[in-house]
Amino acid sequence: MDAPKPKGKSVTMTSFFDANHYHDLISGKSVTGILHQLNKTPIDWYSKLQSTVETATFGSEHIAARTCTEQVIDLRLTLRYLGSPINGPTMVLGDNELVINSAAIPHSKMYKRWVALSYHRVGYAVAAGIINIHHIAGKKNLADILSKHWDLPSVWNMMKPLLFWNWKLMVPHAEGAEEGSTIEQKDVAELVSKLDAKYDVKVTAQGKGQKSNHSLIEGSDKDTISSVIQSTNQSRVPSSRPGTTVHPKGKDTRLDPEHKMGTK
Amino acid sequence: MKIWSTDIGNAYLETHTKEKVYIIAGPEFGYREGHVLIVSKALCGLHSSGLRWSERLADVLREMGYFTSKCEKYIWMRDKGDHCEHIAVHVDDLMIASKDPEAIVKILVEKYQFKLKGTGPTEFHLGCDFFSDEEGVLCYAPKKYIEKILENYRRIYGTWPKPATSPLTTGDHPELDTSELLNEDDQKIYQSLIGALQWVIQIGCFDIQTAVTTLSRFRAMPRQGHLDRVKRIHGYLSKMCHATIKIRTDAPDYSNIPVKMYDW
Repeated sequence: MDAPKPKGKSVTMTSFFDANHYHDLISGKSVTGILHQLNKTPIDWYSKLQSTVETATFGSEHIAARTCTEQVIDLRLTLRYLGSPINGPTMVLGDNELVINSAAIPHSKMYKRWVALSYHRVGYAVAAGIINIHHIAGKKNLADILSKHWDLPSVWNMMKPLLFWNWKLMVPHAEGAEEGSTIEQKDVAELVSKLDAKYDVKVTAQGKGQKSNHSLIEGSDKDTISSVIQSTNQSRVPSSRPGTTVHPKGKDTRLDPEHKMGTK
Repeated sequence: MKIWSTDIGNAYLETHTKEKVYIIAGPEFGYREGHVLIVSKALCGLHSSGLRWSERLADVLREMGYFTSKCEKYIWMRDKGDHCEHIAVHVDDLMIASKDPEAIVKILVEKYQFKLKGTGPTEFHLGCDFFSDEEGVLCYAPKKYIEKILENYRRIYGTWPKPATSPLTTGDHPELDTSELLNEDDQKIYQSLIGALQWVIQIGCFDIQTAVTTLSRFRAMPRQGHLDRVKRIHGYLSKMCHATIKIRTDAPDYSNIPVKMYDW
């Protein structure tokens, strides 16, 4: 091999993938969303209409898994040539249990040749030790942000640790907030605090306490990745199927009128 | 490891043309008016200027002991025993990752006589602000670039965009839009707004990627409704302008994930 000798701290790679089936009503095509992380830093993202029409979510998710696998292989090669050591196989996380289950085990039955080929591509990478594919709950799947038109409440839990961990900047008069900013910030602050109140309610409902800002990031990180990954053969929880988002009792934020605030 | 940036001043004047380029002196040359002058340095504006410059820089870096990475030819590397130095080149902008960037900069200035500008720990690179948070973790945010495009928006439309809490409304289908087609001027505006948004995505705001890629498809034939949606994305950016990516180098913990071995 002509790759440079790996030096320094090694990285753990994580990739999230998701597909939004029937995203385009005119062509019937789906959208693939992929987010790659090195350690806990997002480093690459991808969101694109698929080039073929899929008649089932299963098919479009498989294509997303394949695209993700190919990008992971590419990324691993890039890191190798940059001389960065990688920790084991890349963790690939998706929220469609059927896809994960069939991709992670040999001899799955596929009825369409093109889906079968996507399956083989992913399966090959699993067998070759390039990736580890696991299931993650739909509402923890970071690639959700990149595959559909979301509203803030439904992705806030995921986005906050990723992009808006400094959300305190949005609250006026808080430490570090800029004076005389050209953009009206007050309603952002309101929104953020409301979302946060909601978030806390949710967390308490699930029995997970989170305290200071910093541990919130840490905590939510564990929440987004480690603790939600289920082994592939775990019993299928109907609520975690794609398309049905789970919300605590009576807390369906999608129907909550206040999140519409400022959208009109 | 330190991350430094520097900008090479008058880059294109650092090298000589390969072609014979001449001009006929105009009145601004005083008594030499009417003379035929031969241009020896690769000025801006020639098709080959960029090439000449990159060749020159490549020669310099090669002489200093760097080699280009096989995966990314604009990333230069040098083995320093316990670590590997990297220099990322973007035309005349350099980003240096090294334990001793001072030494590199010194050689560039003293031996190769480059006029370096803005040398020091990276604060602003390719439209992105770099800074350390209170814990000393490196972060980057496209805040200045967002401010720039909002300013640009105001120059075009005379007002700030209306704040929104998501890039597009959930379940939005811009492909079904039947509003009237834009005239040529508005089309150009649409295209340049999309172009700017695509760069924001590249430098960190992946929260708007799905919306922008969906709208990018209409660049050739945008309708009024599509332009309104692009305006909405600007409104979202104005509200959520604090998006920041934190370079978190702690590895996620996957030790609790069961490893399944299959006989492939």
